[in-house]
Amino acid sequence: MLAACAKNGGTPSQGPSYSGVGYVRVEDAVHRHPLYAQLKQYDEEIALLQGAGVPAPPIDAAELARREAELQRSLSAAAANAKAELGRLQQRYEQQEREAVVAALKSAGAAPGGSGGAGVVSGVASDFQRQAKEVDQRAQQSFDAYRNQVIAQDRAQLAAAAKRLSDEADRKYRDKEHGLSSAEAQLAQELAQKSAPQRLELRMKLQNLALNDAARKALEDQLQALDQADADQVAELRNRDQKTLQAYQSQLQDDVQSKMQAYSAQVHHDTNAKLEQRAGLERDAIQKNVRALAPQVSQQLDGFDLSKMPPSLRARVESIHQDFLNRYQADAQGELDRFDKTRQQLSTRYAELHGATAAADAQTAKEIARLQHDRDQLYAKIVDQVESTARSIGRKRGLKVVLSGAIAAGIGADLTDDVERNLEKSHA
Amino acid sequence: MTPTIKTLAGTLGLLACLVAAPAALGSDVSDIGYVDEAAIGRLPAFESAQKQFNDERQSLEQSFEAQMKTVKSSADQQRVQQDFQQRIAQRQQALFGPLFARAQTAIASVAANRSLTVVVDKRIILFGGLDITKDVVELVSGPGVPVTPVNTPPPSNVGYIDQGALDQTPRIKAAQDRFVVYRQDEEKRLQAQLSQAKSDDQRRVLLKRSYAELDQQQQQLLGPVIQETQNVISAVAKKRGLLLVVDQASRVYGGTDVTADVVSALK
Repeated sequence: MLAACAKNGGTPSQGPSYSGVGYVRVEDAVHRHPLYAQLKQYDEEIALLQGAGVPAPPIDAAELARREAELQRSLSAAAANAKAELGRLQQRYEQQEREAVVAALKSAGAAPGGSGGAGVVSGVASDFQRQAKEVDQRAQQSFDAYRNQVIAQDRAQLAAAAKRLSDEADRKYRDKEHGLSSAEAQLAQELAQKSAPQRLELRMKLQNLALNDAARKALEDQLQALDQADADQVAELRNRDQKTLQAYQSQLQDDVQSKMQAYSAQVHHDTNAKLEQRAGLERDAIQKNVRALAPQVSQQLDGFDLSKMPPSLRARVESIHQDFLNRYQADAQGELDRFDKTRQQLSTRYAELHGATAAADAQTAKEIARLQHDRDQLYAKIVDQVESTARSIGRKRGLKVVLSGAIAAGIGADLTDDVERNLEKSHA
Repeated sequence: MTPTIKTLAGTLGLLACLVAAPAALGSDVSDIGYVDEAAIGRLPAFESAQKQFNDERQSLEQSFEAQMKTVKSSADQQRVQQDFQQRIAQRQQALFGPLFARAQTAIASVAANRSLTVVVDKRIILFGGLDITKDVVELVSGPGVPVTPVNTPPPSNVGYIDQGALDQTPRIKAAQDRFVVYRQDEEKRLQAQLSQAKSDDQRRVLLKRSYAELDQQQQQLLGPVIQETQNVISAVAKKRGLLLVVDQASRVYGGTDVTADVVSALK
């Protein structure tokens, strides 16, 4: 009694467990756990995949840049073709109009002077071409900005979805695990209750000092067999539960993967739809703007001294201008439409290219989520080992309360070192 | 020695032990209670409030996103963001505030009735302690209003600390700031190197090297400060006769706050 008093009493610093309260510094124990290196490995893999915003897609950045450059070259070639075709159109109509105006003036007995109608058409055509080009450039810039914005949003959406699905799967897994673990605990309790009378009887018999060694051993063996039978039943259930959990985890992972694939396909489809819709809006805007350029023709004709011409000749020249202008505009519009179509096709290919990157991003996000899930499980396993070892040590040392959330040592019984030693031994 | 004498000697020994025991022993281990906060969070009143909050949050988020599309300057953007966060916080307070207050009063009431000096969250109890979850749940779910205990909780041998306050102490803050600056510089260096990398393997090597350097730098800059802080907390705990110190987030009721002592010792 006195010895026990000396051990448990005295000043606080002399008897660390005098109060019956112990604790373990879980984070410190986790850091020194034999499996901590594996945990660090997971962290490193996750960090590498997150890669400071640099994903590791199947299409690497250089390849993506090469394909983009190829598309850009095709687009530039299409633009150059359109420009050249417009130039040829302009020259042809200038020539034809010049001839028509000269013929009209000649037939009216007037001398053709200055640049005549050709100059007017030339000015109009040149302005028209320049302005149409500006409209087109503005539309292209606006479309590019929109496309980049949509692609960035999609990537963020996919990453968020991967995390949400993974978290949900984790929660379901934990719930299932908790349910099975409760059933195991209940079985252990029921078995202990069921065999309690038999145990009591055996223990009472063992207290009989008159027992010979053989009889004592037989009783001890019976007690041990009873313990073993209970433990076997619980272990059998635990094994079954473990298999159930593995199957459930696999099912959850499949579920996450199929949901992610469906979601990724939906996002990709939506992206293309959004881009297509935007391209349609841009196309409408171009056509509207190109049509809006037409009224400027009359402004250009104002610079030509038509007032000196007889009304009939003036009307004739104006009619020629208008006729050629209408034909030029129709042909130019056709050329712009062809260019626009080519650009649309190239833009679609560009979106597909980035769609592939977005899909790769989704794949990376999924991989990160999977690693994170495995990492969380390993961490939970390590913490579980630390805590169960602390429980076991605490009980052996006769403590009445053991806590796991200590962030600094006090005068209670610090079990951390003992826990670490036990875990090292068990993993050796 | 006859049985009577043995019993008497034992009793005297026990008395001697009690007399010699420190003050800490006076507070029996039965004065540590715990509550399953997650179970309280699953009560219908909390779940209903959570559902309402989720719905309102979704609606606020939609309105926030619509507003963000129309803002023209970064000042407007900041104003809209602040307004959104403020509204969320207000709704959270309005929906959960009364429920938390009721739960806190119920915990205090049960703790006082059971003469507990500290109540912690169930998650940090490995074994032992008094589980008051059932009593608290009954009181929170019951029709009556839980009664606030007249007295403040008695002194406890379990300490707690606000780690957020520690982060604001000059030495810790300076060490963290130094590390943040280092990390930002390292990220810039890394981005520059990554843009020059020609393959995934090269990128991987660069990232790996960068993380290893960050890890090492973190150990160098923060490791000594963390160690020193732990030593100071332990010294304060021992000086005040505390069994251990837990994070404020794990403490639910009672306990001994050592934050001020530790902050003062760290200055």
